[in-house]
Amino acid sequence: MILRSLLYQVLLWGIATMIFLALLFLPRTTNYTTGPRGMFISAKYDYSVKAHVQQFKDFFTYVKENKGLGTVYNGNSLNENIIRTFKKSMMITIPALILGFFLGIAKGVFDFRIRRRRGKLFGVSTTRFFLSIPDLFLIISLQLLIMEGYEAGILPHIKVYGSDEPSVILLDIIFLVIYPLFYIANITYFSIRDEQGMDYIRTALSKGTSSFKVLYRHVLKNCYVKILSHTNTITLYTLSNLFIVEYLTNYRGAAFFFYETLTSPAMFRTGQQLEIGIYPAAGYIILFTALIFISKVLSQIARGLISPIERQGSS
Amino acid sequence: MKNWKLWISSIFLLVLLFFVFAGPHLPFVDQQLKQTGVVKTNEGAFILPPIPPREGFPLGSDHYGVDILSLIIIGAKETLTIVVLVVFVRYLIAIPLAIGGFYSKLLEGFLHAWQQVFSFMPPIFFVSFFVTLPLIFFSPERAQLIILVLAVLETGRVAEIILLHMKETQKRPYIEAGIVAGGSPLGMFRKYYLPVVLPHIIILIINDMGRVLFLLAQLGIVHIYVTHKFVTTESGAYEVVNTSLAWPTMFRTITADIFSYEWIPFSVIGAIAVTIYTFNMFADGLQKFFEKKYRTFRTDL
Repeated sequence: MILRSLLYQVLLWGIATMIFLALLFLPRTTNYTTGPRGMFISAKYDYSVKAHVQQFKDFFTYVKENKGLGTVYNGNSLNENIIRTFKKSMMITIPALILGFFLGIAKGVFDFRIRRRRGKLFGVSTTRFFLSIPDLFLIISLQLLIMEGYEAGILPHIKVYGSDEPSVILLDIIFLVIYPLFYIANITYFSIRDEQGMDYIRTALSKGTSSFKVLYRHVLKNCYVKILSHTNTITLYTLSNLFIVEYLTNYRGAAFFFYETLTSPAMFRTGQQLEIGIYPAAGYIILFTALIFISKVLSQIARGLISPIERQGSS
Repeated sequence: MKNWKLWISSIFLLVLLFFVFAGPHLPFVDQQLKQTGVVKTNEGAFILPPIPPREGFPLGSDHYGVDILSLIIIGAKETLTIVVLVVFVRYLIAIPLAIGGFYSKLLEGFLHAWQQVFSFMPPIFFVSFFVTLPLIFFSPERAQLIILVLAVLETGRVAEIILLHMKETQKRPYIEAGIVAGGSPLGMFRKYYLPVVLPHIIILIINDMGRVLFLLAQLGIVHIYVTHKFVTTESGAYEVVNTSLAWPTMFRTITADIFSYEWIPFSVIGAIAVTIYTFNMFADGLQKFFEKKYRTFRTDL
């Protein structure tokens, strides 16, 4: 069963990647209508299927001939370049995802246990608060605070910009972890709450199991399935955020370069074609979709391991 | 317990609407968005723009010496119009798709495929993909096209959530009772499904407004705006300039501003954060209100 759903995911991954490549390879030839002295009047764009298919063919022959995606100006192969920057991005993304997941569950459990005790203000209300405020605000505030703190002499000099600074890597992980952490905490809290009053809990309690054990052994096990079903949302969100975080901290990772290859020009001359770096973009697309694919498969396997019901059901 | 979230957020929302409609006519708002060249302080020193927060400039000024508070208040209308348009188009497609998917297996399959394909690409990547296409870049209807792209981006997700909610409703015993009582499909939909699904959709819509505004802010940071214009420069090349007053456009120089003119990004992100927080709080409050009204939440636990 797992094998079949795995196959299904592989198929989906292939289709999604093909669709994105098809979009990427859309021919970009533009015909300008110009007035006297090349004045810009309008630009027309004609789509032709033939040119589109040709782009695809060119791409595959190019890959075949170069045994990769070609070389960049510094003599390195583009493959290596893409993989190096991608690894750099993963150095902050993967710890952020894993930390967000486990700390999120911990926070959710904490929220639930404290909900009727003293200090409940630190429980679910903080989670809701951080979930409602855009993390962009927190990121910018944190950056400003660190800089102001240094100026006021409270904090040591911490670099908030740069590509190879350990402090930036650490900060980036913190920036990226904010949203997944509170998102998962919220889901954990509500799925524990929904389990309350179920028969199996009453049975376990009546047999003399401590409530602590019931929560961790029985209730959470049922919650994991629900929590894991949000893996895709979290991954997508974190990758989107990666774009922003890398840009704001000048961290030269894959998202930064992917943006560079795709960005539209700030200036153009009439007659100029808006070319983008198709080959590096194609490389990045394949890697990013692969990451999403892996996260999907991992969450499915984990769900299968935890719950026997998921093993039998379809995807 | 009183629903204080709903009350506070309603007041916030009213204030926001007040600023959108009456804001430009307030006395402390500079309607012309005058550019101040230089300011002389009482000590006789001169300050060049960007002017830090001081008398006459409660939140400072931008690089052209325009008061940021006025910019934010006047820009609110445009920003929120874009947000509302995106959400409107999104639900215009999503609601029929979800309801259609509930009754037809074919549409459900289509919806599922749509959602699956989009679940492979982070939203910002997708948008930055589209805006550089010459087809959209040079189009006179660029703004409308980008709004459409932003709307379609999450249509699948939204439709899937609504569909799932309808399916969960279907399992409830009272639906069976309705069928036994001889309800026609249309009547069942109107009297049994709609009252449960509609509040859910309203909450989703308000939450989505926050999400869209957030996405717009993120796009502003990577220099993707909804509107732009071409202006000729001395060299004969055309510069792509942004003529809109929407909030995210003020992030243009954020990486440089954050070091020395921190009030520019900070006031803008502050305005965006307060707005998003208001939307989210309003959605939370409404949820509580509906839960109480329709007793969908079990309080006996």
